[in-house]
Amino acid sequence: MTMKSDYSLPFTNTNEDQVVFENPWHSQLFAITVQLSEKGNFSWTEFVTVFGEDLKKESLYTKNLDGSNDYFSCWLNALEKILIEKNISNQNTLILLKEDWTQAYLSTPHGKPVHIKNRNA
Amino acid sequence: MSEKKNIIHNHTHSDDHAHSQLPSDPELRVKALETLLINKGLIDSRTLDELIDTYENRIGPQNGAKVVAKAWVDKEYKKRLLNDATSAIRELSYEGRQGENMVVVENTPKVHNVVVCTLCSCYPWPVLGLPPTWYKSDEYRSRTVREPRKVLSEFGLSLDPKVQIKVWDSTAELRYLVLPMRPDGTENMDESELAELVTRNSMIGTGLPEALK
Repeated sequence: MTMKSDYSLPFTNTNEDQVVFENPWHSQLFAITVQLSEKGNFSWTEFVTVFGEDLKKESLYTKNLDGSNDYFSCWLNALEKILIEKNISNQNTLILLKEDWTQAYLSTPHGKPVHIKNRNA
Repeated sequence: MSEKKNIIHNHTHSDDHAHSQLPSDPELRVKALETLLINKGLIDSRTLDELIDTYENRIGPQNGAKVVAKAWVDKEYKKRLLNDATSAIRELSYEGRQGENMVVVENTPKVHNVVVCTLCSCYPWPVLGLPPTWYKSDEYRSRTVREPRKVLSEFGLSLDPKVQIKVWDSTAELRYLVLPMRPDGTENMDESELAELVTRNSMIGTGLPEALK
């Protein structure tokens, strides 16, 4: 058995070897999901079943999911789907909250903290 | 909506009036989720921060490396590890989420083990931390089962054709860790020195422990 030191992987980015989360939203999403599951809102098996289905579906349309943004996009789809299925939220609320955040960013001067008005979820 | 955004984004961003940069669609959706769930009392920010800190800074392959090094120097521990990995790993205080049901598979001169999760990215968090990006990629998840020898060669690992490759598919219920072979010439090294040689990839099966320098 031998190991080459200067190999390049056609399907990987070796420079990212030690990065746990490539984007802050990946880590937020991860932590939200773990916390929700540990508080009994859904089991981890339940989550990975929905997540796995979404990954499978997505890979039919997107060739070669890279395991980064597209992977966490599927994760996000799965979590939203579960929350809607469990009646923790609904599509409309999620859209409205996203719109609130969008408007908050567009109306907040650069460098100032961005907040949204409290909406009853 | 898009017209409005275009107007806003086409202006010159001088320091005195520029608005905050609009995050991407998924970032905004995650913010929406966070707001919703905090308002409902289902999550709290402090726990989110702790979880992120844990997996960014405190739990990682260094844990698994200690398990492997102990198995290399302690025959009885190795026996326990191969018989009941979950309990043996717990002896080193590595336990918890995604490590509830562990199986350790041993590499030998005749068998090389490699771990994948074809469904998503199931991975033994207590001993390896969170999976690297490539472990979550479509290519790794689909091709490792189909053509493991070729995938391993792309990692720079050329196995003798006589060596059998076993692929283990992790699930949410069962997580695998590879026990790599102890490198030659390490007979005089102690456990902590040996742990330094154990790489993350060697415990997934896509690499080998570091050779002696």
